Amino acid sequence: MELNEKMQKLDQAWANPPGFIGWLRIVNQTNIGVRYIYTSLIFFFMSGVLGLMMRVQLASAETNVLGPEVFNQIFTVHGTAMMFLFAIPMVEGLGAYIVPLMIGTRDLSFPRLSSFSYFVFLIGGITLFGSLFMNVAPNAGWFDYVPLALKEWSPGKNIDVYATVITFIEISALAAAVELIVTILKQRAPGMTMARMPVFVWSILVMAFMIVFAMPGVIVGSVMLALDRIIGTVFFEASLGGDSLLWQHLFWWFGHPEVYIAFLPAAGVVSTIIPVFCKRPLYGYTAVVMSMVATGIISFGLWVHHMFTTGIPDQASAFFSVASAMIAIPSGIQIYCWIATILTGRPRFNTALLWCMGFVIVFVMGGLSGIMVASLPFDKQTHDTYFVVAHFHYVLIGGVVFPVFGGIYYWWPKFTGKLLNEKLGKINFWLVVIGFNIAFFPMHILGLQGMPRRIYTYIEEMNWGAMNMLSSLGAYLLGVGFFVFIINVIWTIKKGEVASNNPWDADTLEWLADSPPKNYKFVEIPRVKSLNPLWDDEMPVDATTGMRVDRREVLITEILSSKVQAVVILPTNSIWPFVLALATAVAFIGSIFSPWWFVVSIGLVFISITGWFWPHRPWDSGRDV
Amino acid sequence: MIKGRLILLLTVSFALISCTSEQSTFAGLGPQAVNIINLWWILFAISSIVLITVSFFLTKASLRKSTAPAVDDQTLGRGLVIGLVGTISLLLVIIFSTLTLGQALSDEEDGPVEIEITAKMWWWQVKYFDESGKYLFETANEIHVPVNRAMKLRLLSDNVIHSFWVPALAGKVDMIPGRVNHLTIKALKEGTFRGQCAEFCGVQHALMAFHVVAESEDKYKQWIHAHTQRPLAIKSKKFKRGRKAFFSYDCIRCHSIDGLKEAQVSKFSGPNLTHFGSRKYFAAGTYPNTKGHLSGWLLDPQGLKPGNYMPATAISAEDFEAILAFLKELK
Repeated sequence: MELNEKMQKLDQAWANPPGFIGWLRIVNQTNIGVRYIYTSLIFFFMSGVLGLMMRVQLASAETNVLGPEVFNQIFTVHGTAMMFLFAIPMVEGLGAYIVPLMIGTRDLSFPRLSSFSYFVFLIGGITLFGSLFMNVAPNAGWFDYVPLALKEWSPGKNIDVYATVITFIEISALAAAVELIVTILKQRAPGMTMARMPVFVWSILVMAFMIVFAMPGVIVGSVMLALDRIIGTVFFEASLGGDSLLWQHLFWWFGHPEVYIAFLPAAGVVSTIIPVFCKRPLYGYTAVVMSMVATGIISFGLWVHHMFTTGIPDQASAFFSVASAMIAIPSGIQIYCWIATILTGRPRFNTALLWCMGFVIVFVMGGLSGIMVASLPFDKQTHDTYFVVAHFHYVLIGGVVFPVFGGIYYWWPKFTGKLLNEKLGKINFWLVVIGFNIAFFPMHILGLQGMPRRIYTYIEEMNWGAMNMLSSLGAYLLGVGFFVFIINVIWTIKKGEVASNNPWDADTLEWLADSPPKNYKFVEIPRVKSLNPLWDDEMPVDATTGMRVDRREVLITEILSSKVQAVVILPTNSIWPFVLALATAVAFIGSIFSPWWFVVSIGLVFISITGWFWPHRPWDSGRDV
Repeated sequence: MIKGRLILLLTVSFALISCTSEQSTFAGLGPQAVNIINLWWILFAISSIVLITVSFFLTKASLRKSTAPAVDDQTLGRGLVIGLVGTISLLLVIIFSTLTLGQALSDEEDGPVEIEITAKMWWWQVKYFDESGKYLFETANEIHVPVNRAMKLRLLSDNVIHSFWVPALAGKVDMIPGRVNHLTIKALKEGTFRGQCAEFCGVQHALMAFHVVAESEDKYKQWIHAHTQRPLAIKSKKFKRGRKAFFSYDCIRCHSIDGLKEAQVSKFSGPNLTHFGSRKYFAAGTYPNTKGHLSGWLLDPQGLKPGNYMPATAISAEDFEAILAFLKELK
């Protein structure tokens, strides 16, 4: 068969349906991946605006711009959205887009599941922000402590919205995690053994396993919360034999690993970008991978450090205090390896690399204040103060947002086929770095001066005004910095430079595919012989020649050695994942109003799953259904 | 190095700024707080070393001339080991100081509890007991303690989770419904120290504050004695009218006055006002107890602290004056 003819047939077999209805039916991994990335970016900017609104209210003492009711909703939505609608979906989206390309396969293992998980996430996000416009947004903080969140103290719909939204995100995250695990373990290109897996793929693998272990905690917690609120069970009601600390254990069992769920893929992005722009393989690949795995495991032994002031015996707290300090070791190893890579390479200071270098400094600062608050006595003073607010913004903006933007600058040409503007990129970076530090460094001092977090105002006599004003000004500068990114995107769409397949001269397989990739990604699956295939191999050789081109086939390989095992036919486009997402939404959004919606939803879910699995497998013939 | 100078600047500004707020953790007026300040300086020194080291090498790596010879892998390997050993030893210093200083915190006196504090929405109920555990009286938002004597506090909540925190004296301890927590505080100097709720507890969390008044043993005893008395001897005509108005406007429904009437117990109950006139602040440590502030509060409690459980009440001008006079006389 001629190459052209082959490509034409592949194009047909992997084609996306046209039109709006067609848009709902698309299951292709790159489409779902960019949807995840763009949607979470939009939520990021929306939550950022909420942050700026808080900084208006807090800029000086005793202002009354928002008032406590609105302020409490805003800080809750800001935190909830940043964690559940930006951090997790963003790293999942990067994983869903980049991983299949990086490991040389054509799609994720369960394409329809990825479509489903995206729509569930989207509906969850719209519900949260919609509730804000209707003035019934969650208002008990992103960790939503009971008994404040129980019906007696929060009789409105606000907390029901919270329970609903996080349930959506749990479902969507678990679906994505399962899919990523299977894809990474079973669909790597022949020859890409575990030891040749790119660090980013490792980071996504560890993240996905962490989601699988961490999410059940919050699932159980949120179901118990919903039951307490809807039908009056008393899991958390102390006066009737329940326990309010139970929620804290369940929540932080998830909530602490959650930070690393966002951070590890971000670190994986850094480990991908630094070597490319230093033109040498990552120093200490094995050490970095082991550190990631270690971080993933240790992070499950830290949750009690969020509860040091609850009156837990000091002996028990001391254990968690020490365990929390230990996590500095794997992080330290990674930082060493990044600096060593720069030190021995020939760095080109593109915007993507700048984000990574900014990340190193800011993340180290966040890590250091993290070790401080991990220290039990010190935490008793700083817990729930602005010191902690400063700490986790250093960790999450420095440790997640910076690398994610680095990753966006790096992979944008792959997503869109155009290079983001470097000059605007540098303005974007420097404004953000400067604004960020002006906004958040003073918060350390405010915390030490005794300013608790989550207060909508403070009295003049506290003398917190000047620092708060400085912080607010920094926040606006930070806002301007991120606005430059939006300008950059618009500029690039209009006038951006067209990117080649491998504009950065990078080493991993995603740069072998077109920019943007065809739906089938690779005409033939490449064979991998090293860790940096595009640098070491002349050009990866085709591993396969006999795969059919008239239907969606992917190659299945052995978990460890990556030897070819089988060919699997993937399902094609379908409307049913979207319908199932809607049916699920009926249950959860309905439950805000009446538990009976659950019953209605069971019927709808049954219908949609039947449709989804209707057993006539027409895709065998390559036909779109 | 610019970075080094920056750190120095930050240290100085930290030192200067940290002393200015009356709620600062750097006031160091209790043994716990002093310990934690010492711990802070250890943590700060170690963090500075790490940050300077990382910044130094990152800067060095970025500024390396392209003609400079690359560092070989053997040196890098050695560096990794040195870095690892360094990190671990610094961590051990942190863990050691955490545990030793932490130990000092848990050496709590086993004496009787003389003060019981219950967090309400959004104020603090304070009950005093004598050494034998006999109930003495109730007050609100103001905790008097004798200077240089360790006092054991019992911390409770009957609604949502709050957190008791006086930064000048000690770290915070949560008040959790269904649980009993304790905290021992000791004031090393006389003075009035502000504390504030540190766990988000609803709409008026931000202004849920209180004061700890540390005074000499004599003054403390006088204060206790005065509070076991009833301040209801009629002092003036205005007082009498005010007392009547206190009933007719239904203030008594939420605010008890010992010897006059018990308020109905509900989750909306407000502070006991028996010795209100002697308090330095009101509305949960938010406003100084002056006639002006109090008038403003009675006129528009919802404007000053939106969402709190005190309703605005339309009061006639004469009664208004009388209620103010009555409250002032409750000493």
